[in-house]
Amino acid sequence: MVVSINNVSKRFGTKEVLKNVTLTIPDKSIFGFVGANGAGKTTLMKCMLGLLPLTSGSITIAGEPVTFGQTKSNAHIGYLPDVPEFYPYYTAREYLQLCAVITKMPKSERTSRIKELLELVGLSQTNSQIQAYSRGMKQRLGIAQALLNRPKLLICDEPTSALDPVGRAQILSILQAAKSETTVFFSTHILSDAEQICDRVAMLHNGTIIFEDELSALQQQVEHQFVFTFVQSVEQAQSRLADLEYDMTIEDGSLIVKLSNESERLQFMRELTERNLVIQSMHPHTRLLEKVVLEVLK
Amino acid sequence: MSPWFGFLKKEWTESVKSYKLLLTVLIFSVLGILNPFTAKITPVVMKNFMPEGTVLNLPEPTALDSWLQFYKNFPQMGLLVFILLFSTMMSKEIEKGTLVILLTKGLRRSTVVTTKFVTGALYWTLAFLLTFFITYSYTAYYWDQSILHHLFLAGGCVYVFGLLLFTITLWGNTYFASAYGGLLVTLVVLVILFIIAIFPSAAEWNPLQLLTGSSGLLTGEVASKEMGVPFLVAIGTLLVFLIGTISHFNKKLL
Repeated sequence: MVVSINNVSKRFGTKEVLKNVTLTIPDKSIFGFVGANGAGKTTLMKCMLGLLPLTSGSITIAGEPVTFGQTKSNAHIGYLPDVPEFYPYYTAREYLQLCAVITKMPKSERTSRIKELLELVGLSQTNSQIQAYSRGMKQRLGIAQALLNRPKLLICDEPTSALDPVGRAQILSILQAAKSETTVFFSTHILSDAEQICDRVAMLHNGTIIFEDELSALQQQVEHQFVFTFVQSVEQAQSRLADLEYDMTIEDGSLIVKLSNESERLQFMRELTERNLVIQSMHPHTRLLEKVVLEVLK
Repeated sequence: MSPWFGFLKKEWTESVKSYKLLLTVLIFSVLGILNPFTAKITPVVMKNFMPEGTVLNLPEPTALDSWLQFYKNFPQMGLLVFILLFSTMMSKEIEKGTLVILLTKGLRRSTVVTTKFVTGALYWTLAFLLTFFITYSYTAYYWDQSILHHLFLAGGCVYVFGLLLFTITLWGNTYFASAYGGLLVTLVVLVILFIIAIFPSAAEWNPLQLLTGSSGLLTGEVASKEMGVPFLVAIGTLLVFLIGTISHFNKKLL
């Protein structure tokens, strides 16, 4: 386990933001840390970085205990804050050079590593100062600096939250590529992002971890649902299928049907043919994590 | 390059890119020229502004007049401009969050404080040397400076007092993490020093004596040994504020 968080509590005055949080993060995985805004995700990340003192509990990263202030464990971490702030007068290359000096990276390694990372994040052709960068470019530079010293753990705080769909896709693909080198721990409130790339997911709600599991295990928890649209109207389809004992709901002009296994799916198809219903489209319900979250929160 | 020098280089680059170097050179050069110029032109201006027929017996200006201008302008206008230029060194970074990434990379918090202090001190040295030597050169060109007592010591006193005020500003700016925090603390400290100065016996140790006594040093009214204790108190206070800044920043939540 690259990260071990044991009974961590964090209090700001009378407000308890984290309550006995216990979490372990396995090596070389992408770990999604989901939760609504204000759930305590950033606080836990700052505690992991030694930027905030713990009220109680302990955290170890790659075997090193985390301490407030100057912590040795940061040598194993790359961190991307939710809104990464850089010195605007530097170019990406100059900023990474400053980071390389601070991490005491050997001079012989610097140029090639910086070139490699700028290519990874798609900034190798850009020579302008950071002040001219878009939000997405800053986020990509943020990932480059976080990966600079080949960390064992990459912590990303809401890396996709303020990006357009293209920017989000770029960041998710970079994080996926980074998995071969490091463990990725990223927080998000966009559940589909977590669903897209994570191996494991944990959810923080009101300072408590309310579930934590592998994504595949979560998938099994949710009964399989399929989304159908028909040439006929969805109401027509529902009325023609009303005598059958399927769990069906209408959502955004589509019919959502629970079909737990292969034989049930085949049987349902036959029923549709018998009732002269012509399928326009059919696909699995993809908002899986959202559903799990809603069920857990019930 | 060590992280300390790496971050100092960043501070230097930042000051150049934000025109601090240009402003410092321009403002303090003009201030240096202004001192002998004001001394030279004052009698002429006064003659021209007097009503016709007024008999005015003004003594010829001397090197002392030029240096008195220096000790009036530099610690007031010069120091104020300098403090304003460098009063947000720390709060700007804390407010924007630019330090977070670098601190999580292993940058020592003491490095942040000491490099900012050194950068400010270097700029103050540059500002002082520019004004001092421009004033010195022009004054030497127009007048005989041998009449002056302890010229360099008087300059050194003002220099040390400026360094002390800058350190206090840095502490206030770190403690309150806001642009006005540093200025407010500096103002409060200055007011306290002026209140203490009401008591004549306090002149023996009050660091403010470095400022108020510098013209006396030039005329010979103040002996050099009288500056010893205020000088040591100023250095001691400076170190206390510098260590205090490091200690506070070590515990600051970012």
